[in-house]
Amino acid sequence: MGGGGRGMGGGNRGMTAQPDAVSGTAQAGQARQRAATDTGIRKLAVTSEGPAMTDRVDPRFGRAAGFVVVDLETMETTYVDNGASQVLAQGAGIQAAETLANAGVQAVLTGYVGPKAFTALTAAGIRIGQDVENVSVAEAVRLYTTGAVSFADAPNKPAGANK
Amino acid sequence: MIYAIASGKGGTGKTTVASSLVSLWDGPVTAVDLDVEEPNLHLFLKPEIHRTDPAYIEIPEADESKCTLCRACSTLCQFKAITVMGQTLLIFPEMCHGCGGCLTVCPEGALTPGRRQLGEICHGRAGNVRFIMGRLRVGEAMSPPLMRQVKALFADMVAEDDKADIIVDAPPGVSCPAVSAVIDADCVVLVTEPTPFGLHDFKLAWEAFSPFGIPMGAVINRAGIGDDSVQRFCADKGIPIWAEIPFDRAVAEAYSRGEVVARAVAPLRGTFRQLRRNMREAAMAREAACAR
Repeated sequence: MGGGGRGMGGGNRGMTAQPDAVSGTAQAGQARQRAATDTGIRKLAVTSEGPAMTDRVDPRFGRAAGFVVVDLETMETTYVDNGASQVLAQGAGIQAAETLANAGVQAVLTGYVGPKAFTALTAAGIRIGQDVENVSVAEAVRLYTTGAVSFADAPNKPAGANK
Repeated sequence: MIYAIASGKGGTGKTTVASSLVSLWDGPVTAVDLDVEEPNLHLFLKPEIHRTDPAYIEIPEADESKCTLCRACSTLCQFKAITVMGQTLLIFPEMCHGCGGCLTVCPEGALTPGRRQLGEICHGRAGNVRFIMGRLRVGEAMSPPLMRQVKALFADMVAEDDKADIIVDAPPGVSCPAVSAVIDADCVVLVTEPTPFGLHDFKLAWEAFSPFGIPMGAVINRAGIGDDSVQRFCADKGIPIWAEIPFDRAVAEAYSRGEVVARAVAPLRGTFRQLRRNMREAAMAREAACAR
């Protein structure tokens, strides 16, 4: 079984993703836009069904297919596979949190986070934006940069609910 | 000898058979409820419980001042019960299987044994029958560690007195708890019912338990309903049918009143005595074969 940080199997897909979708609205909301330099959040992970910005947000945290990691200054993306969590009967959320900590992200956007994953992410200093679902990864990032996603101070699912 | 009363399908009559066997046993016997997630043998045997002991599993506790965040523990743990996130050592007690590995590998002595309650073990007596029951704590997910503690109690009894007989009411199914209940037995009684559903789960149980090489026989409960598919399967695989309990209103009524059916329904006494003989012979034959 995987220890921490073996989840980079997807590799760097190096996309300069969807400049139209993101930058158009970003300019409109510039006054409220969250700049990476202000928030201290430069690398943002989004739980995703696939590696592209057009893929949908996977609402599950621990059992998410993977994470699209966005550098908010350059808008470059990488994909981190979450296979190490899929093989665990229990503790997927903790494993996923480890994977994100090793990927060096400062925040994650997802649908639901259970209590153990929440504790683990918080200990690693990773902020959590919950209730992001039914949108593409690009749209989730846009929602974040325009200030529409707030960070949670409590988990929104009971343990093991995302199996 | 340890006799496990098991079944693939739940609700086939394990407790009915176990309680009847206990009540007709012709020697010192201990009745053990190993269905720790939902013990119910006591409802029929109505033992007087004279002692209840809490049961615990060992989990790590951390002295963070000694921890150097080396990750030796988190690398070892297969269950994500102990992990290092950022600059913090995190322990998730409910994930811990109690293997003690993290305490062994910690080079700094930063981990010490703590405990999590698994449930309780009740000791009692019903007439001449000694009674032991494990009961899992509500919210606890792991039953085999508690079952192991109950099994250690009766293993000691058997080690002290080789005439001691243990009748185990096992949990249903074929997963870890069921396997844990039958794996140390000298003889397994598989209770089933003669229906397609009964046959389906009977097959699973037979497939799961066969590799242990423990003598197994079938008890067909509610005989007379359904079809003859279980009998045909037994004939095909050479599984002896040790008893058939007829589908009978008198049995159902006794059961519904919480009575031991072998006591309440006179014609069943012969059936259970024959079952007892068959179980004994199978267990003795195995013992003789092992001695050779």
